[in-house]
Amino acid sequence: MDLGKMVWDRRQTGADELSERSYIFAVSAFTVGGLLLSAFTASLSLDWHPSWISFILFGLVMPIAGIIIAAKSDEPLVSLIGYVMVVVGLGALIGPSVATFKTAIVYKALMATGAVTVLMSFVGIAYPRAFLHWGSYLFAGLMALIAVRIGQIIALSFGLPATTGWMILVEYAGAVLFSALIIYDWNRAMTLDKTLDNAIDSAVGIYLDIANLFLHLLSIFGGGSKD
Amino acid sequence: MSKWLGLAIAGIWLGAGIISFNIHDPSLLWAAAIATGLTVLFDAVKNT
Repeated sequence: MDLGKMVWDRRQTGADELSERSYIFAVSAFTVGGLLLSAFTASLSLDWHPSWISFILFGLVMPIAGIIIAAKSDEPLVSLIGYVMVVVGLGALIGPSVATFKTAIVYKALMATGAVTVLMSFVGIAYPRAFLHWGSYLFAGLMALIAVRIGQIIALSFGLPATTGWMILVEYAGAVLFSALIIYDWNRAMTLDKTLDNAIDSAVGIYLDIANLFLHLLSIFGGGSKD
Repeated sequence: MSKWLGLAIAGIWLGAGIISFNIHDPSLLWAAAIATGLTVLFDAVKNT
């Protein structure tokens, strides 16, 4: 799969175009806004013990529907609604998991995620073609990560530990992968027409990269230790 | 890899998440797993 083609090649011209500075600001603002909303939702769901129905509705159906809506819509308002569905759903899902870690570890992971995100975003904006040709490799990395996660699930289902020993290397590899994806998604955003809808679409991808990076850093810093 | 294979993998992965998630013992593994699945799904949907 070539991540740099198809819908990402959507082109528009005319009055909808933003200036480059406004476009970068819009992508950044939507990304930060999504992260803040997700953090707020996570803070509300720390003690959430969902039923199966509510877990499936809020933790899976809502973000999946949001992704489809945001990715497929050409209307900024509709894309924004999809984006909100993604960040609220994923935030609700992250809350109970984050609650199992010590507060200091969570803050440490947040600070590290913020620092890496700012650095990678700067690189992605300043060098807009740096990682563009890495799409296939990064997608292969995502596939490999999913394969490992499936292995972890199988290990858990047999009562084996899933997050000890060499598995910490997987967390480091995941953190590197999603750091690179932040650069890649910024590169991809910079090649699109600079419209509000493309800014929201790009923010969804960057938000997901940052959320994944945070979870991997939390796992690294937590080292399995919990409250 | 075709876009449909990407969608299928994302679907299988999210399905596994639904089946395997233990709501009484939320762990970081599940949140990370589903977040990764959503990332793949997003890229797959963008490419269809």
